[in-house]
Amino acid sequence: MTGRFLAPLAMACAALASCTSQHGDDLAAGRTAQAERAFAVCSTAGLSETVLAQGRPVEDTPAGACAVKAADAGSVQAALFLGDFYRAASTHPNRAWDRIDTFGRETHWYREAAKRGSARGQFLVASEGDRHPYMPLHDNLLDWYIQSARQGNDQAALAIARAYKLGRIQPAELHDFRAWLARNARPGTVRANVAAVLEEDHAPIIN
Amino acid sequence: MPAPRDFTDTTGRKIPTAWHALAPILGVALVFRLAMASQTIVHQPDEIWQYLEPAWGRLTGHWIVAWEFHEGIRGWLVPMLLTPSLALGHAIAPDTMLHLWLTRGLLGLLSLGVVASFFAMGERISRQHAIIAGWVGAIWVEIFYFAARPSGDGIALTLTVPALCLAMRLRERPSMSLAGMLGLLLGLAFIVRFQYAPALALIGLLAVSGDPRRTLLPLAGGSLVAIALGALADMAAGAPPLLWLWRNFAINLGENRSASFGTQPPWWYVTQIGATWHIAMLVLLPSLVAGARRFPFVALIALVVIASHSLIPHKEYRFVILAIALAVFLAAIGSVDLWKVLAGRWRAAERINATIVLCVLWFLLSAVIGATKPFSAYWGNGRAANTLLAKAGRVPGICGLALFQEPDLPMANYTYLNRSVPVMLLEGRRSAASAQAMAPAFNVIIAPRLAAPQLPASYRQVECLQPHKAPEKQKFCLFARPGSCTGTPGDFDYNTVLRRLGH
Repeated sequence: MTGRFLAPLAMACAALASCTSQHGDDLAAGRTAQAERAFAVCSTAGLSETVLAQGRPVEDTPAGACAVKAADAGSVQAALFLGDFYRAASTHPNRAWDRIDTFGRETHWYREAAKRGSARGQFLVASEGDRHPYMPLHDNLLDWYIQSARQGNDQAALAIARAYKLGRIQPAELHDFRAWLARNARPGTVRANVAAVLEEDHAPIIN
Repeated sequence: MPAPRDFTDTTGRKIPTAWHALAPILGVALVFRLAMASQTIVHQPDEIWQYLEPAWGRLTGHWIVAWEFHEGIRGWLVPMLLTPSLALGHAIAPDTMLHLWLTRGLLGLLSLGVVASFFAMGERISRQHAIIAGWVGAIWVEIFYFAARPSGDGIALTLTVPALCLAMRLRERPSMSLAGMLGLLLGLAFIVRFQYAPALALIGLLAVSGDPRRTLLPLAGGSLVAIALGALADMAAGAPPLLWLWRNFAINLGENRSASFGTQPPWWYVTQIGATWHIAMLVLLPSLVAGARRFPFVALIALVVIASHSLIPHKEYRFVILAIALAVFLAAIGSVDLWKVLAGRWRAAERINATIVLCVLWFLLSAVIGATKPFSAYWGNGRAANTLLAKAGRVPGICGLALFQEPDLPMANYTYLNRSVPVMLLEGRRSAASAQAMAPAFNVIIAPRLAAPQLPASYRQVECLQPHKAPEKQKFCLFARPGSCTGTPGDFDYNTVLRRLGH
């Protein structure tokens, strides 16, 4: 008796879940596209050079504020633009940048891009944060490297292999990534080389 | 599960109970816990940034806010409960770490309930079982190490083991008042560590299975009171009541955010427990199996805790401390049974005082586990960073602190610094130039040893911790300059930068 109701109920739930998920994905994609369009109309041509020379946060300019608005709305390109701006600021000769937290701002915007699935953003948030080669690789940086590598960023995969060889990663934390490499690495590719490195011995684990 | 013992013999005379043995066991347990409370150990950053620091912030108005509080995924009950002991310690001796010793000491004191519960559950079988179980609860390194920790895992253990003991009693002697008390314990344990929900539900089921009509409502009532306390604590801190529960579930499990702190395979807990117990497994495993035959329900709860946590990709040993403690309890019970089997076959064993031998054996096993890897690494957790922060707070005339290129974030916290001064965070390629530009705003710096040449010339090294390590691994050095501070942290305010960095 119960079975008569359970099967249709399960089907209805599955259909609803699939529909909801599909609907949610569509909505998110729509919002992202809208945000990218919003960023496209921001007047960013030549903006970076001018504002870098002025030594002030790009958010304080109308075009920068426009980019921030687009990034907050979900534009990956806007987030990467802002991250790149502060990355450039971190080495700019204008001393005014000494009083501005270029690293924090850069990381913030690259992380925003990373959270929205940008492989470049994921790699940059990890590699910019990965500043202490004698220390264990932070779990969250490893997570960004892995996400980027899974999207095809070979630099991220190589960074993981390097950190592994130096004993900066607990081997158990690479369990899923190893399994993924085994499924996705074609012979002769960077991924295959990385997979091979992850099977080799590593330096003593750094604590 | 064994029925409670009948304390009268066939002639109706009272059989002496083991309760007089509990007092010395509790005394030993207290010594171990107070020793732990006196140590500057931070097993896991959560102890500070999820519990102590918010409590310190309530008290002083200054605290480093971790991302979990920005996202609203943490409740305020534990910080609220820790505030009085922090306040008392700070009021008595404001320039010392008394606030932390008192807080950890109080938690250690409360955890004596675990020892008494082990004893009471063992007493259901025999006097010897009670003494060994209580002794193991007192001296087992994994239990007393976490007993004094201001963390959800340790506090949940302190609440759940007595709840289990109470549930066993309630099943046989239904009582409305005890059911209400049990509900309160289970509800508090849920608020403190909601991931234990399946185990807590099982304990609740055990309790009401004796007389559901008499116990179910008071149990539910007690649980609701605990949950209401959690909601009130949230509201007192200005947070929406209990919304953190949903957010925590949605962000950590739904969005799998916790996976960004590392993922391990599903069998990790089993292998990690095996690695921690290593040689002791020879005694622990057969004893555990024997004990599980006495208390299958306790074994079931331990298994449920491990199984449910194994499904979550991010794993930490402390998460399953409840299961570990229950497994150790079962092994303690089983060891008495195995000794009796051994004594039956080996005459020499009969002439030895089994209780003393077992107590010594358990103590040695605990010492071996505590002194060997991987557990031995825990004794130094967080010690250097927080010792240096406390020292920074004691630099005469400190008016501003900068953390320079420190690899572990967040490192700064006001609970250990114990000074309400501005704290700054200088990171990245430009940090040396920023340290120069912002130099008037602080007069004390914490930096890795290799970063010393990048600091402003007016700074002199006060001390480097862990000098035995290679220079590149000396992360915690203290630098100071004479003089006062002017200006504000500006863009480098620690909380602001931390939020940008996503910590």
